[in-house]
Amino acid sequence: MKRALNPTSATEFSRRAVLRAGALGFGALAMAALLAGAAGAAVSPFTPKPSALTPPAKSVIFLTQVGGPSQMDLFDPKPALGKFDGHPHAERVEMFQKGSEANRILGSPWRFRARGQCGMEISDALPNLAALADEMTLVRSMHSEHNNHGEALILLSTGKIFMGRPSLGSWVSYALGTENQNLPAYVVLRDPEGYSTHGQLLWQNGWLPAVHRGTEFSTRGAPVLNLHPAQPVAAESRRAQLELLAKLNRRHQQAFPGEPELEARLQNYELAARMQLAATDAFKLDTESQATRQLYGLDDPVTRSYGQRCLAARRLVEAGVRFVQVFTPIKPFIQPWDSHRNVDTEIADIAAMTDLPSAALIRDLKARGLLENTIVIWAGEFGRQPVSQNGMGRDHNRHAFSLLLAGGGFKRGHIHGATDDFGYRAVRDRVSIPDLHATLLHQLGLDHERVTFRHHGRNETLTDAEVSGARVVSGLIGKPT
Amino acid sequence: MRPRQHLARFALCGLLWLTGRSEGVTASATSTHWAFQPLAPQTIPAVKDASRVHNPVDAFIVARLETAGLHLSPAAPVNTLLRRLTFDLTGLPPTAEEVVALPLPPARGESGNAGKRESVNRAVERLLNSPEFGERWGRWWLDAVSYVDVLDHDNDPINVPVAADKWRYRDYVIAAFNADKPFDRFLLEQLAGDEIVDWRGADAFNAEMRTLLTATGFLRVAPDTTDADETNTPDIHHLILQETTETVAANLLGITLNCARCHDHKYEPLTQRDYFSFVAHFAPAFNPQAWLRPKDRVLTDLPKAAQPAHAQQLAALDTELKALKQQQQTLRDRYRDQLLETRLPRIPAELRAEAKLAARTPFEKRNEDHRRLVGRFERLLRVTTDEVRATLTAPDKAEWERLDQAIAAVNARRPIPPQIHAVFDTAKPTPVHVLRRGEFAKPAEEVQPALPVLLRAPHRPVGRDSVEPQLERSEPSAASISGRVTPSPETRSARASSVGKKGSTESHPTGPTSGRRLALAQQLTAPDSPAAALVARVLMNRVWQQLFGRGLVETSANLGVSGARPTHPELLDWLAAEFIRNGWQLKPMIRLLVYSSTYQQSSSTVADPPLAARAQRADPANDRLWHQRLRRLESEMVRDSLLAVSGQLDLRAGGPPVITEVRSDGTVGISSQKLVRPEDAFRRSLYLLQRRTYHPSLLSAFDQPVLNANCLRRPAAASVSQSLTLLNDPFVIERAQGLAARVCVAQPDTVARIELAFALALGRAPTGEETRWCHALAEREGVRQLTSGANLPAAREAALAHVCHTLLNTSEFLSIP
Repeated sequence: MKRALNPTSATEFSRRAVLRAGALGFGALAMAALLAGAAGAAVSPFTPKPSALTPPAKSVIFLTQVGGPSQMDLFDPKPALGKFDGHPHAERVEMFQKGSEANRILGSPWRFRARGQCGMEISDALPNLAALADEMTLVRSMHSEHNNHGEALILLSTGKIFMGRPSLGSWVSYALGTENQNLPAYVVLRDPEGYSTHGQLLWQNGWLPAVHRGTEFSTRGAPVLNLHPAQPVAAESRRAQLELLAKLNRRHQQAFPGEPELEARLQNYELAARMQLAATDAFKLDTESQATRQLYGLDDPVTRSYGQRCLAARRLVEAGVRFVQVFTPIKPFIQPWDSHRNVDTEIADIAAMTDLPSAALIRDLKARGLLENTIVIWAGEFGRQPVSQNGMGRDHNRHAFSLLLAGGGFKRGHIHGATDDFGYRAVRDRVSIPDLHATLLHQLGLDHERVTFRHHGRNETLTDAEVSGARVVSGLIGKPT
Repeated sequence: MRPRQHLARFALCGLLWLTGRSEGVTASATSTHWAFQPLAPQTIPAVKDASRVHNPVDAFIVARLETAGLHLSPAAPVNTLLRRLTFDLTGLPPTAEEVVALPLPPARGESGNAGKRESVNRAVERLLNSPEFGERWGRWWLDAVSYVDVLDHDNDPINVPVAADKWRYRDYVIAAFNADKPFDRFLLEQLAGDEIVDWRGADAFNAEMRTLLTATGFLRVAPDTTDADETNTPDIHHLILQETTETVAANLLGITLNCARCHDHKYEPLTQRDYFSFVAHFAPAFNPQAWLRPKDRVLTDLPKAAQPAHAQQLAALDTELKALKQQQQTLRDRYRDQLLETRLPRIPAELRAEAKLAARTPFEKRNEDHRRLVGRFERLLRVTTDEVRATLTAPDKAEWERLDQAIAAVNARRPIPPQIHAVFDTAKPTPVHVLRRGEFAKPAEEVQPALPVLLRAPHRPVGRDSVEPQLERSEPSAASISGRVTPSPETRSARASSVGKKGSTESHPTGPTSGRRLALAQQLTAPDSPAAALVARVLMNRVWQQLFGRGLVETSANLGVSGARPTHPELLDWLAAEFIRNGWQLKPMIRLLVYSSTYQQSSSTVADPPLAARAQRADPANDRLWHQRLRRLESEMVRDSLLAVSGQLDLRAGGPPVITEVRSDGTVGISSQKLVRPEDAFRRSLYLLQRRTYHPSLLSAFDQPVLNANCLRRPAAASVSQSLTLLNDPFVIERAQGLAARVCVAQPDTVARIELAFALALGRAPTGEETRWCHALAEREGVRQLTSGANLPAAREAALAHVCHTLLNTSEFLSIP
């Protein structure tokens, strides 16, 4: 039986406790102690929740590929495109931008090959990921709902195209808590240079308690904002200061016994110090072996930045973080897979930065025995068109895209679904984003229809199955249930 | 069958649960819902112990406490009260002078005295009349409006499309609160200011037109992306119209009308027809059939006579600009050709001539074959500006830079007259239809502009001569109510003048406009109407929320059937009626509330131990208000307080926002390069650039809301990032140093300095124990500073800064006590 979670099951969850908890959840510990007397049970939003069964996956690493990777140039070979290259396409495609008016088919400049034992065809654009074909499920029948990056990214993150709902990572944090109480459950690793499209909106908590918002950690400088003093403070001075602060706060607290926020704040100062250590530790990438550094491409300026994020993701998962979301580089383009001009050169550029580290992460997790219970998902927000745009580019296409899943009980060396002869539309075994979300939750031991949060009088879920029709895609997982 | 995917495109489908759920709402089930009833006359309840009943508010609260065997907590100490009032009325802490000027606190066990009451009264009047009042309560309103300085989604952290002059609406709001503009007039101006003055026919805007047009900025808050071609589509036009409508409904009606966009509402007596009838008020101004892009909605505040000259001037500048750009292009082309010549030999000979031609043709003029050719050899044929710049000879480089500067100089000369982000009907109204499943391509029956049916039903009017208790006329019947509050002379005269001006409610549409929004505004505040009753309840509930930390209805965004029940329904109705009877003026209501013993009681839960013991069983959640609630400062209050206590706050009011920037480390702060004057960095947070998501880091840490939709209640959760910010953020550390420097200048010895720091940061004197603790820390830190080489004055100041920094980290500093 899948685990359900809803705010009315008081032993698992106290809504009041959650609402009062700290944004990184540390206040929760204190609150657990405080409420223990009253409720008779320890309640923390981050306490690892027991499960009735052993789910395949414990954690998720989401490699978010912003811009809309081109399925027919990476994962979904379409000989018909080469055959009819330059000819008008029989079907008028749905255009988003200008530049595709001629509606002429564009063959892929990339060569596809059969990979591994399974013979999965992947193009030469991603040689390192391709080499791991036997580890992965390739879904060729994904589809989105919107042709604009913003809406499509919000959909990929939250299950709906409009802003304001909680992201997948927030739901997972809410439902499962985390195993390391000194680190947040949901960590975001974006390019330290800045934000991708829609930035923080992609890891919002929506109306879930703020404690479940994705926390940005940085691979450059201090991992967490304000983790260290802006001006040097002698350790002895800081200690004395914190002692005085605790005395003043305790004295103030005497007038308000039972006010959880005051107790949470007191504890937060102690926990801040613990996090300084835990977060700093998680980011000590230089303690990794030279072989590992090389595996992730840390010595190459092209792969270094994204490689650091992939390596940090592994270290965070090792440290017990539940959900890590890694983002693609933002330079030279904030939507690096958005090849409107040239699917040859533009794909070559972003693949050079990300292919090796993405593959390294999967290899490394496997070597450490972590891949079995870690889901790695490699996905963008939509796909691209069979016809050319601006010469050698392709416009956005919400009707079909491909993505990769590895570990966490997903099938190995498996291809799911198919598109039409030109890769324009997913036609067989179509998978919607809510379907994907339902399946990811399933692998974490959660029932997407029973992990609920009451909002505006309604029990909300990530997938809103009644509307979206979301269902677990049993074809993707090793042992269908 | 699986539901169709595109459903989710327009629906707030979070609320589409109607399909597949068991039973619908019957009209009878909800027609009796309290919030949709007219305001029934309320009798001020009798109480057993009237000693704490200062005004009718207390009578309602005390009566309900008494039914549970409870009573109010003792009055808060006067310094506590001053701090509470100053934050609540101005968003700022009291000044040291104000703290010091207080009468000595009464000895333990002795309750309030006349001197205390009088100093509190003086403070209330001073604060209500200070310009900072409008800034604080303006913020309260701007949250509900979801005011931001941008027009679109604001999803790019770095490139912020700041809408020039949008801030004029923010200043309009602040001025309205300071003038205590009656809310019926205030709403009328914001919903329909453009419909009550003939601005179209005016040769130049006069002050009244400016005010009325600026007020409609109220309706310019839904993200509008239609300046970009890709997102200037019918679906988006409908979405903007719908979001505008929903924001108004959420703010003023406190109902989840948005749920009825795609289907009839499941829990509320609202139909899809209600939804689109409400939309119809706004449709002529946001007409999907005659859409105006944001850039075309902006009104230039320039006399008609001056407009041709202005246009001429712009045209002349454009010509200049074109010539300069052409020169640069010529230079660029020359270098591009040179670069091409070196690369063409690497292209197959048979394609070379065609490739050269293709590469030399501007992109827009290339045919499909040329585009493909350039694409195929992109690394050779595409010459970027960077490549050109890298190969420029020294003289050409100088010329290039000269042209860059000349272009910038021309742009700098572009005259920018004031602009108004107004809302006005864009064309003759076109029919509005119910949209099946909320999809614009599926129009169903036509609707006329109207309030939701539940607010239309004729209710028994509440007569002016009813038994309803009235502040000025009737005397309290039940309890002996002392110190009744009446409007101050200033408010009375303000009211008289506004009522005089206010022919507003009888206003007629002026000029070619549908008058639909005007009609809506009039209906929302029409005397004795159910709509006005609901609007007044919603507003009074949010005022209560602001002063007591929680509304009388906890779900202040939802007073509907699915919302929470009011804890004190009679009091809420009494307040709503009193608000209307007072001519919809806010200040008398705020004055009434803050003068009440309920507001002024202690927030401590142990101020009266026997009471606390009883209340732990009878009312642990404090629903009955046996104590005032301890509240955390809102995000702006945290930053403004830090600036105020360090003596660095710059109180300049109004004008363009202070520009902020997102830095590569993810922090958001004030852009020092874009400061007009250095002190602008220290202005109140309200005057910083208002974005939807990327708030200054300090404000984000303290729960500044994301404004994709409006915010009707600020969250306040203690997080570890708040602790990290207060401990380590440079802005906070600098404020601690500022506070120390200020205290060191004012007082010669450490104890006096510590006392002053307490007065400034916490609004009270330290206890003897606290002074000793702080003194000990200062001594230790001072010695440490001396031994590490600081001179004596510097060491003393650094030591004190250490103490001050600690005070700024306390829970007490973050609290409205």
